[in-house]
Amino acid sequence: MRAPYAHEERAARIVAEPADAREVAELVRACETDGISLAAMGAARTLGEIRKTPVALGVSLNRMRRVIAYEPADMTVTVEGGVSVDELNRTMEPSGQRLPVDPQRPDLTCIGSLIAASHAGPLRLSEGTSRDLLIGIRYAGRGGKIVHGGGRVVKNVAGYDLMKVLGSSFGTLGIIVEATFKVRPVPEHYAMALARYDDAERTFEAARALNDLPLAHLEVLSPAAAESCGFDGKYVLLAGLSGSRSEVASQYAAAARMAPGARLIEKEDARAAYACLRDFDFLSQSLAARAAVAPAELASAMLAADAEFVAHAGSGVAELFLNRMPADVRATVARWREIARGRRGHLRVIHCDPEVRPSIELFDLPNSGAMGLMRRLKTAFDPAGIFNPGCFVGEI
Amino acid sequence: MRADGFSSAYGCDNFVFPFGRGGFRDRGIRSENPSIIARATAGANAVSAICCAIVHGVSADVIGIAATPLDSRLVDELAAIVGRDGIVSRPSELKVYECDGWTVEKNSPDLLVMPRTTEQVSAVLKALWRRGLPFVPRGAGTGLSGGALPVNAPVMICTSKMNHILAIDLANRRVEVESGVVNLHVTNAIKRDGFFYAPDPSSQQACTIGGNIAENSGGPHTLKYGVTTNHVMGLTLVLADGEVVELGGWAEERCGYDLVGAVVGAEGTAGIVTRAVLKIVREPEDHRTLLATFADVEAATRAVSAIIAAGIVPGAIEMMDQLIIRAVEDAFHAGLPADAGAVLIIELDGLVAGLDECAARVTEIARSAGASEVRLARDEAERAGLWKARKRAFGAVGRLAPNYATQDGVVPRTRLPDILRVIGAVSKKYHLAIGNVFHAGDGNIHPIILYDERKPEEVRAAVEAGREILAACVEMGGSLTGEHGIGVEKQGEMPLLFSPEDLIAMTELRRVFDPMERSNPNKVIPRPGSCVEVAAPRRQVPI
Amino acid sequence: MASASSGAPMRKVVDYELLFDCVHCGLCLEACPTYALKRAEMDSPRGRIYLMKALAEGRLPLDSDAARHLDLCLGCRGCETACPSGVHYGRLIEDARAFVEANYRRSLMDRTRRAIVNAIFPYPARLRALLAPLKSIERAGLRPALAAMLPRAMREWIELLPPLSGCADERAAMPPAADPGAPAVVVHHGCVAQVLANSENLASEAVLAAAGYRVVRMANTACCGALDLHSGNRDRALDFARRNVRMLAACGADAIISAASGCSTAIAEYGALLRDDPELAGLAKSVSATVRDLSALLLERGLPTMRKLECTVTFHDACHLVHGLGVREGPRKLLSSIPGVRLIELAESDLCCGSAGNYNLTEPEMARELARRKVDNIIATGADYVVMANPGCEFQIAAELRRRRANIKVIHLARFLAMALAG
Repeated sequence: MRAPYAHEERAARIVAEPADAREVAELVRACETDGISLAAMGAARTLGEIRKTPVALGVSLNRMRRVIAYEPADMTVTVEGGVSVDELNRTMEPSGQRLPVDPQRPDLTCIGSLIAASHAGPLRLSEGTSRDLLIGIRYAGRGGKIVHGGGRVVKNVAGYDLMKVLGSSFGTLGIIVEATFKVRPVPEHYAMALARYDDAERTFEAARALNDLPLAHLEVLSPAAAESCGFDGKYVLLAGLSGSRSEVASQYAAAARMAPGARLIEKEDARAAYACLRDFDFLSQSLAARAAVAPAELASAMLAADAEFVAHAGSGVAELFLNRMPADVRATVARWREIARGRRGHLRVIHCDPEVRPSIELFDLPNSGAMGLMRRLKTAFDPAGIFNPGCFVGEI
Repeated sequence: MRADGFSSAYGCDNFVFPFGRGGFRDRGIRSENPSIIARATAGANAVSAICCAIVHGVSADVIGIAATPLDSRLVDELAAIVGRDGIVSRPSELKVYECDGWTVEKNSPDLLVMPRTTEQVSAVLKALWRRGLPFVPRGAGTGLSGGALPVNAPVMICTSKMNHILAIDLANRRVEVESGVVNLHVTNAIKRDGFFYAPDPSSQQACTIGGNIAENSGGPHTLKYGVTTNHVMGLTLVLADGEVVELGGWAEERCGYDLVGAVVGAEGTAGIVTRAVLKIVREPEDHRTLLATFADVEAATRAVSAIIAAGIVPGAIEMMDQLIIRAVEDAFHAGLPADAGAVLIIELDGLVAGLDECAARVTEIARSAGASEVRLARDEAERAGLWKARKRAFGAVGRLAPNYATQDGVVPRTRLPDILRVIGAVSKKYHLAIGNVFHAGDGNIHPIILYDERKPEEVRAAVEAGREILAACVEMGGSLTGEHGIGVEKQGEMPLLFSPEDLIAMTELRRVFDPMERSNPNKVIPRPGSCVEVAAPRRQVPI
Repeated sequence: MASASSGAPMRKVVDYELLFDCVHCGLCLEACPTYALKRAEMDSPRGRIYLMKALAEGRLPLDSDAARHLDLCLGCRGCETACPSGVHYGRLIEDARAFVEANYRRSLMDRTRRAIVNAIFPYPARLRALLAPLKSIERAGLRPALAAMLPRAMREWIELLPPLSGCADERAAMPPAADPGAPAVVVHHGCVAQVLANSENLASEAVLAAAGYRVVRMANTACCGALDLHSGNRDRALDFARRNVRMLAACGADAIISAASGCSTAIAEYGALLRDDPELAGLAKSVSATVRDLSALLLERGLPTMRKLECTVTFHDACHLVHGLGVREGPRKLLSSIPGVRLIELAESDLCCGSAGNYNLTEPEMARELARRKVDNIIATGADYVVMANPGCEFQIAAELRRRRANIKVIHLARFLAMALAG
């Protein structure tokens, strides 16, 4: 037990650092008995954002960073919840493999947070998110019981899919202590095609054409986003090209046909540009939100939003942000939300000033039928209401 | 007998379960089979304890005791909802619904309803809910684990008439379908535009999207593209009480809990899915399909590991052993080497630019793993021929024996040689021929156990052999099922894989959707009736 | 229960062992036209096999339900193409039909309908006699008026008939043989076909001659027996088969074809049908082995240069051509080889049109539904011609197209080729 560090103060009042799953389970059991709220907190970034008030007990998995099993030939890896994505990928690097999920700051994102907060980056277009790669999970849930779902094989439909239930549950159902992923080979080569445009319409139009290629990722950046990533110019289109040398070359040739003037960035430069894109810091903006809409309608959503953005074209997901606080934050969020909903999607606020946090609904509300089931799920998995209460959808 | 009597029943040396299928007869519902006499032997005690833990505290209603028997008023009421042609109630016609692709166990429903719309499904379920009647959903009946077998579920609800593709939206890469749409029909509808629906189970020419969702179906090409759960974005689900719920949608991210992910693979126990929004995928620029011939299965599996280790992710790697090669060759003359010990079908797809290089590497790797020949399919016709042979291999085996049971275990890829040795030993031990055709790329084995249902001792041996293979899979760090589901077939083996806590959590999850366990009752989670040792398959009716 | 399966079947319905080829996988379902429409298991091949088995084992009485589901089968054998286990569905359904005919009493209406069909269609002379007055009525332009006066069941029969004035109901002169040493081909002229589709027979002979074959004729033609076999009249079917075996063998041709693919398939299966015949088993086998398909023969020797036909065509796969004889690519290749012709693929091209021998006479409702579905697909192609290689399909599809007033011409493959050669 310790007091929270400064950056954790918005997340928790006291922090525990259990050494293993059994200790996590004991904490849960004790909290359940006494009705104390608790939440796993990784680097406390997401938890700090979504809490209106800190939870009583923050569970840091800092001491649970073991890689439990890694079988390069099976392409599976089992790790404790506290390992960071970066650490994990460094472990697998000698075997030429990686967990191809690229959250912002992988060095700060632990596996538990990756799963629970469903962090993902540009590579979601080609590799999916942790949802698609998670094949087994172990968590401390209701009554301090350690429960596991899935397994350690890449294909498995035995039993109910607890991985999906815990995934993107924002710590409201239990504390993830262990996870098994299928992993992928690191592509031989990576390069980036970059094109600049004066207006958003043309940029998105080019992106639409490029989306027919099997790209690693595909982004459209608004001027402020482009600038802070170090790309001068107005709207920027970035297409990730990966594979063998000839595959990268053929994709670039095709990209250059579809987006005339596209420039090729290679090797170290490409990797640096990609890291810049991946680690774009929304948390230092005044207001940031993630919209997910029907993929073809992303362009019109961005055009309507009147905000800066990093748009993951192809997957229909985009981060919107403003670097100056709007006069009426609630109205801005409401307007953005309408834009997303009108395009068969929804919007989640990922960052706002702490002062306005209490007045903003961060999570979009699902329809009432789904919401009813979600409340039942919460009650079934957390009858005492101790896991990160009161800040998820519908104040779950 | 009420639930509170169960605990006293547990722990006895000999007892009769009151809620096996015989339970129905006691409640005036027709059933031909006898009550199951269970012997709680030493080995089954642990299993019984788990079951006890799960059933503990559950009301009698939950374990599927029907409140009222079917009556003609119910039939009239349902007919008013779906029309007379949407109801089948004559026993002679219901006979054909007594099993799906898992034919070891059989049980006719008492009534079949074929609704045409979500609204009809909802109205039907409301009518059943009022009477406390459980039901079993069914798609095309191609499942291989008995998921559509009625077990204490008098009413069967078949989605075959809900077979319309509602929207094709290429720009959004989404297709919206009714759940009775046939898997292959989705791909057929978008093929011309250069898209496909990736999950491609071998039964894709007949199986439905709803069934795929229930079982979280896979297929050869899921090695690279993922299984059903990776391609279902949204669902319309009718809960057991008739409430219609929309889950997920067209966007990639979920709003709130991932309930779509929980329903996919729930084997029809969450309610009836009536519509789904599917993600579709661009056809790769080109394919290279290779046929590699090996002297034995071990060499073939070595090649699989070596290919994966080289950082190559093929679209599919499929293996067939000698028994299957012969059956398939007799049936389709696909040009497989009839005297080979094993073959691999390796499909590479992607950009033309990288394919030949990649094919050359794979050829090289296969050769050094011992392949005597590696042949490249020359054209689309030859490629189609190979896939036809592979996808219809199960059926081709029908030419070798009157019946077969297909197992669906999974092992870590590196343990493939070990599990194949186990299968060989099991085959000898039980004197049953076992063929192997499977998704080698993901370690998902499909031993096909041949038997003759007219010989009761062979049926018993086939069931035992299957169990032994599955136990070995679990021991090697694998799973009971990669894509067929638990159904009734593997319920008894679930405790090999999951602890009582795990199973309780799963039961809780199921009850979020279906608190009274009316939708497809007595599946997936072991029940006392299915987790005791049975001397013979629970029910063994010919045909 | 278990004992019922371990012993022998209780009733001889079909060859019991053949039932065990079916592994209940369900891959046949969507290939079955009745399942495609009715969406119910008992109207699927897998379901019907299940019924046959239950009937054989005495677990099911032969009641109106069982008979109904067996009757509704079109015998198109689409399921055989789909089946991975090699189930001999055609044989199973033929035997099951014979069992139903022998053991089940149908309604008066059904019996009458079937009696008329059985008494007239296999006999060209009777059919000619029946049609003679109709031909006069048609010449007087009164056919629509007559049809309007008749009760529905008969009206639909009349509607199915092609314009009788267009039927070249006589034997034309034999086309000249190019080379006396060329392989000889005999065209089986069929029963209904020689009355209503003789131009198809003659066109087949003409294109074969053009490709350099020596066309020979049978001294006399009898029904091939398929109609009887499919409707459970096994004895008469055997009788027809024996007569045909003798007559075809007497022709001494190198190849036997028929403009009706149902007849080709029936002849190709004489060997299996007569396998227990003490006298003709061997001969039947060799006759069956001689059956070929028109398109294969034409592709083998090649056709002379054809004139340009600027049009779009689509090809409908007659069931017994594609599922019985396994011919799919040949006709398409021939059509595509004609200058100016653009072939458009037909959706569900191998799903039965509902004609199915005399099925559209005995099961008009299901037949009509299938015709609608077929014609929907044909209209969707926007083609000028829909080509097929079976007169039964021609009548069925043309009737539906007439009802829809759709301007798409129905034509037999042989006649289309003859048209291209005419220039």
